[in-house]
Amino acid sequence: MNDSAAPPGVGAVSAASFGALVRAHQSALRGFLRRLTRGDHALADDLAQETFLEAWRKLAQFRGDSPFAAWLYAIAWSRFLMAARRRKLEPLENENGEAVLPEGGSIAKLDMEKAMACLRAPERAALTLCFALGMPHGEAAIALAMPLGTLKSHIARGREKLKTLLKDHAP
Amino acid sequence: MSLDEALSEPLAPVRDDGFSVGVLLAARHAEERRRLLLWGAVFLALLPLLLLLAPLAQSAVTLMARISATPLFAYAAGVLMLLWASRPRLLRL
Repeated sequence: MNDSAAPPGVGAVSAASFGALVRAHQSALRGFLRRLTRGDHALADDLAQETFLEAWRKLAQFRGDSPFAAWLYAIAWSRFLMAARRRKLEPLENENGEAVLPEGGSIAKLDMEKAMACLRAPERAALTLCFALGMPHGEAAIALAMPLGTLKSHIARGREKLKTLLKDHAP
Repeated sequence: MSLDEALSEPLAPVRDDGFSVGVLLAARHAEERRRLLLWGAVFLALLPLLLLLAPLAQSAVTLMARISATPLFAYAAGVLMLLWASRPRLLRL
């Protein structure tokens, strides 16, 4: 993942450079959160705003140990988990942990977004970060606050579920 | 298209549409609230000290008022004023 839009220096971030950071990252971050929230744009944008505000508050604490994008997505992921807990967002899977289509989901119109929506949140997050956003596995593991092995398991499980969903429900 | 290729498709770009401006405004408001809270906390922390010193300040004001009302104070002040005014002449002596 391109990390060129990193902060100019610890403690030297003005409102103008923070604005540049927001503009540089807003599209990818909002896209990521929209996928996590299964297309709830309003919730995703609220979470994105909370993420940037928390980043603004904590920017002085960013030491550059990890890439800036990983640090930013870690905040977004933690905000999403808090919102999911608060709103009791139900996972779309049966007792065996298999993905199931949401009620009213049209099989004929099933596409990648709909298939993604059937996965568990960590699987969606891992696949989105590593594939759609091109983040290296190590960075994605930092962003999702999980060991590298766990991240790889989520990716493998997510891919298997997607294969099944797309094969079973292809038009 | 393979699954990996489909997964690697970049996310649909999200137009800014004032989002960045909204974030900056919210950041500014949050900063102002934080500053207000900080100064409020400082004031509350110093309040007991101010209340403790208030009687002393009141006593000092009363004392000054009493002193300035006495003829001796007026006499001393008059002498000091005269000395100050005639300072150039006194320095030439």
